[in-house]
Amino acid sequence: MKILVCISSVPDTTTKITFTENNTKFNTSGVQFIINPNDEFGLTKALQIKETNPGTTVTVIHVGPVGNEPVIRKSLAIGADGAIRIDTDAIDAFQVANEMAQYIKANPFDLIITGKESIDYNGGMVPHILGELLGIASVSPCTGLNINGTIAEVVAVIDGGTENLKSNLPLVIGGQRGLVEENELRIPNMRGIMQARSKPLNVINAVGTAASQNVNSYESPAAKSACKMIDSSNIEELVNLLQNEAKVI
Amino acid sequence: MSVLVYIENTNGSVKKNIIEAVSYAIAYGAAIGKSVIGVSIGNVSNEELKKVGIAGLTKVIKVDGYEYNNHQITSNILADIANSQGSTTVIMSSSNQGKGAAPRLAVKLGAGIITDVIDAPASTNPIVVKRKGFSGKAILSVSLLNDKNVLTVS
Repeated sequence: MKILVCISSVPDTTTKITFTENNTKFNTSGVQFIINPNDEFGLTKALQIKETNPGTTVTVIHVGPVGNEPVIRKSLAIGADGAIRIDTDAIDAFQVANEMAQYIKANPFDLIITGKESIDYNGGMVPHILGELLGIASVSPCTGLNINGTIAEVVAVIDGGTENLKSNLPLVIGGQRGLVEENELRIPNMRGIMQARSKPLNVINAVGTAASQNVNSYESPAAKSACKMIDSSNIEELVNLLQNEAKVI
Repeated sequence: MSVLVYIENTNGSVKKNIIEAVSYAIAYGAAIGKSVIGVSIGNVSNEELKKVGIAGLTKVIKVDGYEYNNHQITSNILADIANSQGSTTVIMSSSNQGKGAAPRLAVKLGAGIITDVIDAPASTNPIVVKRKGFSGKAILSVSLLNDKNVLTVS
């Protein structure tokens, strides 16, 4: 079985988010970039599938510039067999998905795993756009995956609960926590880091997908206002504040 | 030309978050001077549909007999209706149903898509809206560059 895991490079979860150029650019100065956590859950699941299904290969794919290669190398150090980098800046979900879809059409995979969303732009669109462009099913968010021959048994998150589904391969999965647990995530060891240096990282040219959206500006959310405590017996004061100060009734 | 709004349901019950999507669609339709058409997929009674303020819609198209929670089916139906009704904007809820079908719909329509919209459009041509990003640490002002648009509102 051939598994492809889509990897994005995102700011570390503890990053203080600031902006530059009159709030039109994300300030990357001093920011440490990591594998998108939802992608890392998917990569770990792919490696677990590989370990129980002899002959399985795990390839990672990334759309981004050469500066993002450390996250690709980390994926290889964790255990991926090879990597593809599509050499262009990631602009929006459709552009990223279409660039990957063109590669996948020429190089088919049985299972394609993405994160349910990246933790920077949070669009949650790539799994389903990929599925549509490839003409195959997509399940996202997905918290469970078992491969049984050519059938994938998945647990899909639906509104108000989860749903157990079966789908023929090929299939696109949008993973998140639950696909594997955090204590199952893998830390690259020295042997893996050394091996990653000799694993193939193929750089291919982008097909040149046009962007469909533009981020005009960024702003920080308004700070939460102070909490006012009101005595439970003082209903009049509560109504007064809701009506005249918060203006919600 | 019209605006389409998807009135999603669960087992025939219309969800409260659809009120926001319908209200948003009606306000957006008024802003651009277009009629607003609701679409319901699955077996939903007229009484259920009345709960979400469909009085402001030009009409509601009910498509019975299909799975309401299959993104491929939902996006196929919505694309057919959007094309037949000349809809340039489709508005959905930022639920799992909405965010599952919306990306497929955008591809079928050749539309731009923005998910998790949190504010009324600052501009309608091109459409400019706000959405959250960086896991809630930022608010982004985003413009779509296509003639057709799909928005999911939260």
